Amino acid sequence: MIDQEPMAVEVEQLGFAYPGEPAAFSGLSLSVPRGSVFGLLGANGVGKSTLLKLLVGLLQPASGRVRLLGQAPGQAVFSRVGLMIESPNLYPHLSGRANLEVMATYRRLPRQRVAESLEAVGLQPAGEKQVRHYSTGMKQRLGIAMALLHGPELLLLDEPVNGLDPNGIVAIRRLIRQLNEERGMTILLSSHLLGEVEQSCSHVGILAPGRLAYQGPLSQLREMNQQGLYLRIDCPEAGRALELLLQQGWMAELGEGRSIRFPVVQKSEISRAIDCLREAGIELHQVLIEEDSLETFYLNLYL
Amino acid sequence: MKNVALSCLKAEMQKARNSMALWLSIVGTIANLLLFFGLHWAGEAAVGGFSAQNWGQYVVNHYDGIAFMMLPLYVIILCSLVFLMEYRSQMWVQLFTLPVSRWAVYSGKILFLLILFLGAHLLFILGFLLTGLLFGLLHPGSGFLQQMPPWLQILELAFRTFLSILGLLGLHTWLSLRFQHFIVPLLIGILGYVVTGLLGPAWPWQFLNPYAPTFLFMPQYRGELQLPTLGWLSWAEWMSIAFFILFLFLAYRRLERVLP
Repeated sequence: MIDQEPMAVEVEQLGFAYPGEPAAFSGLSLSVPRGSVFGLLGANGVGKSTLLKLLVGLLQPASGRVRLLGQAPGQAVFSRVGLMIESPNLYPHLSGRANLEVMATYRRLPRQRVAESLEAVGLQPAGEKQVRHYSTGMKQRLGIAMALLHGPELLLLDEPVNGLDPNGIVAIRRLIRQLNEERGMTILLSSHLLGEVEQSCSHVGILAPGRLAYQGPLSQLREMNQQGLYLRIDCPEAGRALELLLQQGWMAELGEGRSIRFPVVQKSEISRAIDCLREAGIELHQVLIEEDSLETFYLNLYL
Repeated sequence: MKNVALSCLKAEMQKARNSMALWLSIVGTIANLLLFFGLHWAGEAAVGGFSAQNWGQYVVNHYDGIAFMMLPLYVIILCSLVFLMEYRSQMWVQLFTLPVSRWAVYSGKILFLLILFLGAHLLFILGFLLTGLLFGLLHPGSGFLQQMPPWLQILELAFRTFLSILGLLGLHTWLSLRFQHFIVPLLIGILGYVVTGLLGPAWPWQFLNPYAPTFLFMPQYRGELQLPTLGWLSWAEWMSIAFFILFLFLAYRRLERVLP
């Protein structure tokens, strides 16, 4: 029954506030499809880590319901979920390998898993080194190895590329893709980097203060934003041009100065609109194509 | 259930490798032994020669030496260090999202604390037996090689030492979880210890003081203090057990509410 659950993570009407503070979330709902790489995108301090903590029961919601792989967060589901929240949680006085061995003992896993996890993140050569001597990137990778140790079906990663150099970022991105494609792992990662989410994820949830502004496939978000194509024309006879364009069915409006701005659905409309104005003898000083990017969409949420 | 508890204890043992708690237990115990050996050596030299020694007195001297200050201080620091391992790197996030209960994680930790204490105490006993033998080898007239160590006396003192630290261990487990800080419980501990010393063993409310049992068991053993007893144990020892249970319960309640 549990395996038929189509959503790896389901959050319904979640409400939460830290004591003495305004509500961090109110009525937030989130669905992460199985087999997806879901990027939870949001600015620093918007509540990404809080949301992840709520998902695994480290914080208790004031209202709403959370299901991970069809089960309430708790011991029963923790054998199927791997996580790294806020920063990699590691014992600095132990070696990388010993850190994994401790967790393998708690989970009663065979020692072989330790070597496999170290290998998966490319940390085998540094396995015997004490964690206090690890670089930020190595700690990050060890944190991911810890989350992978028990072969989870669902992986929750909070800012997995934080503090990594470009090589490290590429390596983590490749690892995420590999885990998703080869092992069918559902991955929910949080990030404040739009580019990172665009490159790693199949789905995205955009967290604005207190609410989820968008969730769904990344491709759908791109499509939505492709519709945000505008043509801006500067011309001395802006009034006549506006009238003409409105007559032809374009939703044109007067912009700043002597400019007209209107949305176009297909790029072929651009030349049609120009031809129409030129045929009417209207002189054009400048023609600009403006495109609403994902970045514009994302930034607008915080304005 | 049994396997889960054993796994948690084993994990605690693995964490102890190279940890400050383990180093404190080993180095602290050896430092104490060297100190007491030096004091005995100097004491004997000061009275102008090595007189026939009594194993029994030698053992009591060692327990007197630790019970006064080292023992409570060791327990206080040990508790702080064992919990410091977890909150310094926010390890609660990992521990609370394991497929094992918080109770199992907690019991593993408490068992580990007790085992570490007992291990250090065993090292202490072996150490003073060895230094006693060394005394005998260096000065055959001292009499250590001619007598057997007083095994029953050692066993009784070890047992009473263990009972006396239980309340303190419980209290500082709770304080460590309550404050999630190394220095605060340490300062409270030192304050508790100083106040207990100032109030003295005759203070009538001493039975309500969890710092008192480590202070009282040696004077009572030497017969300098008569505490009411119930069965084989004094009220201080019974109270130590009661404090252990009470504070471990409070500490677990606290752990249930710990937010990583």
